[in-house]
Amino acid sequence: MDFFLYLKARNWPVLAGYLLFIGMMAVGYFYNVTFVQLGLKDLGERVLALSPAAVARQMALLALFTCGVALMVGWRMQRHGWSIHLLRKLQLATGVVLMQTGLTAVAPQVSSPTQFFLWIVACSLALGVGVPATFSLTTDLIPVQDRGYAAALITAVAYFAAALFPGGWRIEPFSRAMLLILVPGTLGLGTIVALAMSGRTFVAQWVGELAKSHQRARFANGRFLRGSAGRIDRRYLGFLLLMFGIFFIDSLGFLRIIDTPILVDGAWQAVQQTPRLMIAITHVVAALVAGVLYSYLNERHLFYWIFGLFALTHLSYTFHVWLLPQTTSTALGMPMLYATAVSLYTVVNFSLWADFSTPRTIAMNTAVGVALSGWTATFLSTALALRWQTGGMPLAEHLRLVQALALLFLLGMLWMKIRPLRGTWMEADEQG
Amino acid sequence: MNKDNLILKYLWLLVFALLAGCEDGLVSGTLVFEGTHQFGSETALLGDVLVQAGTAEFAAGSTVAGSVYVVGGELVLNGIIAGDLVVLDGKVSLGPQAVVNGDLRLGGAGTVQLAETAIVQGETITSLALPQTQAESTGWDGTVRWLVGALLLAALGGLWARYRPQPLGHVADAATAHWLAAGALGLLALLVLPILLVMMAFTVVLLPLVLVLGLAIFLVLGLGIIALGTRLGEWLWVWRKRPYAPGWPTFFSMLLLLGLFTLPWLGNGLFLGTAVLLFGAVLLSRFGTRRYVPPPHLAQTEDLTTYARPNQ
Repeated sequence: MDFFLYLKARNWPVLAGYLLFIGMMAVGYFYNVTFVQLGLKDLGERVLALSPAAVARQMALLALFTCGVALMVGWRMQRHGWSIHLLRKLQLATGVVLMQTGLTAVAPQVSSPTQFFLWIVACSLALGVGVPATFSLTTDLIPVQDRGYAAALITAVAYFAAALFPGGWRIEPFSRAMLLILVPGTLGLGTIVALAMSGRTFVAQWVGELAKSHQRARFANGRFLRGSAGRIDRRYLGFLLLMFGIFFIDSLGFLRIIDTPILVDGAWQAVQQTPRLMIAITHVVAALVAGVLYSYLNERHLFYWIFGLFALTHLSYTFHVWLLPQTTSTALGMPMLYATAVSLYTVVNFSLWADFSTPRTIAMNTAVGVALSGWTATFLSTALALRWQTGGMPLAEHLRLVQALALLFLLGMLWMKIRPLRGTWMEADEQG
Repeated sequence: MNKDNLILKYLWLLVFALLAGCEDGLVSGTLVFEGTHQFGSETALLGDVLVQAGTAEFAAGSTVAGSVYVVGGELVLNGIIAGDLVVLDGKVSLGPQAVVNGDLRLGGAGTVQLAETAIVQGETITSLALPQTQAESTGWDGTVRWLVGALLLAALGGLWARYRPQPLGHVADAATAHWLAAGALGLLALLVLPILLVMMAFTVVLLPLVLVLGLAIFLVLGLGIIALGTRLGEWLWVWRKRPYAPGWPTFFSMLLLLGLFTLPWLGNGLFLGTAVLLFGAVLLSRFGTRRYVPPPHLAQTEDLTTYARPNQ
């Protein structure tokens, strides 16, 4: 691990860079998974009394807007050379955090569908700018060798906090708790940026040193670059498809699971602390395992695990719904399997796009990767889940279809491993 | 409730669940898990009935085409059971109009009350419980048994190391030089595999595969322990500055390793940790067929100037 060698060499600026990146991304991701995704649902359904279908439409809208904004910002960042301009990226990130602080503060005051719509559009804007601006910091702050470990820590912290959050997924406690983190975060990041811009402080010197990191071999080019100069190529698109599949499967299944009290009341929304603590610990362990495996294994192996785990988890849920349709599940095996799969793919998502990029292409590549796989998949899966639900599809059938989809991806990957088609991204990967 | 009955109860539950995993039309059955369920005189259940908890009440005239298994809860019967009535636990009341065409099988802690006019056509069998645990083996018996097992495994390890050392070397290299990756992979695999096996068992069709996979896990761990024994033997022999030949060192170090696993408290933890590490090492080396080589980006240089600040 490079971290320990930087520690041995007493390179404090780089070590502080690790801390800045992991802290910022962990808070950002916690904000995304709790406040935006779960808080939005509560705000729409409970506070504004909108139908679940209407809220799902708004969530899909959020995903679509975010996707569009992220692509646009990523493209502009690459075009104007901001990808290799650390201070500019920090300025953008500060703007995003400031905007999110404001949105968090006003969220409990949202009282009409129009305000709700505007709030969502503003959230999309912040997220859309935030994705390329923050993900592209990877190339300045985290050496290639340690990206898996950094992603593991981000995932572990964000999910541990999210699983243990005691507020019952309501917007008011979310808002209060998030402000406690966001206000100092905004002030801290704002101070760093202001001091860095002033040019004479030790912070400016620190940021100046970090800004040159991307020129060093240990930071610059991602581990999956093989002669493509970091441009989007066939291999990149292959992994984009796989990540799309993962996000789609996760979202399609989880949207229905969180609407089913027998499946969440004994787990993610349990009144007792123990089940949530077990899920939180599982997230941490799985994230750390994923961080190590991301570094040591061929990237495809983690995808086998992820698709396999999703298939297995949904099979377990299908059995539960089938055998005990009225009984709240208190067995933690299923949510723990789910948590494992989610942690694995989150770690991959935090590292993969940077590892397909050079410092110049990272903003665009991460924007395309996160926007097209994450947000588009969320948008489409939300729409599909809504259609299935309103069409009266039984829960067991819904879960079985999600399971089948996960198996399809897994078998597809295995098939291509056994018989790689000539000229495909898998064959390129094998030869690489 | 004694341990045997508990095992038997869950065995029945598993059997029933396995049958329930079949397609509609092949097998049908009724499970009672909670609450009170009343089956009226018109009821005609096609398959078996399992009462796990709650209460099932069958009115006069109701029929069950299969057998009824009571593993908990309460059964109040006034109807007709075409098959057997098996009572492992819980309470059973056979009312005046109850008819059991098969046998009445009793075992464990269940209680049965029969009305005078209730009819059991078959036999009443009371020896359903599993055989009682055999008398505890004495300390010497246990030690001798362990010693024989350990000697056999160590001998196998010694022979393997003597004639086919390469796969063992690959596994041992992965376990020692890349312990972090091996541990992570082993942890993930050993967390997920047991759940996978249970889920596969539920499908019934995959039961043979479950047995094969279970055996495979056992063999993987065996391979891992032999590989670690070989490496431990190498280290010990190097330390003793004796000429190295892999057979005997592996034999003795495996005995040492297996002995360590029997230590109270420490032994269990040691075994668990070793199992996780070795399982991952076997997978990393693809069952010993390949030497694990980490990706090139993990290469490090010992030259600290690479990591130092530019002005230092």
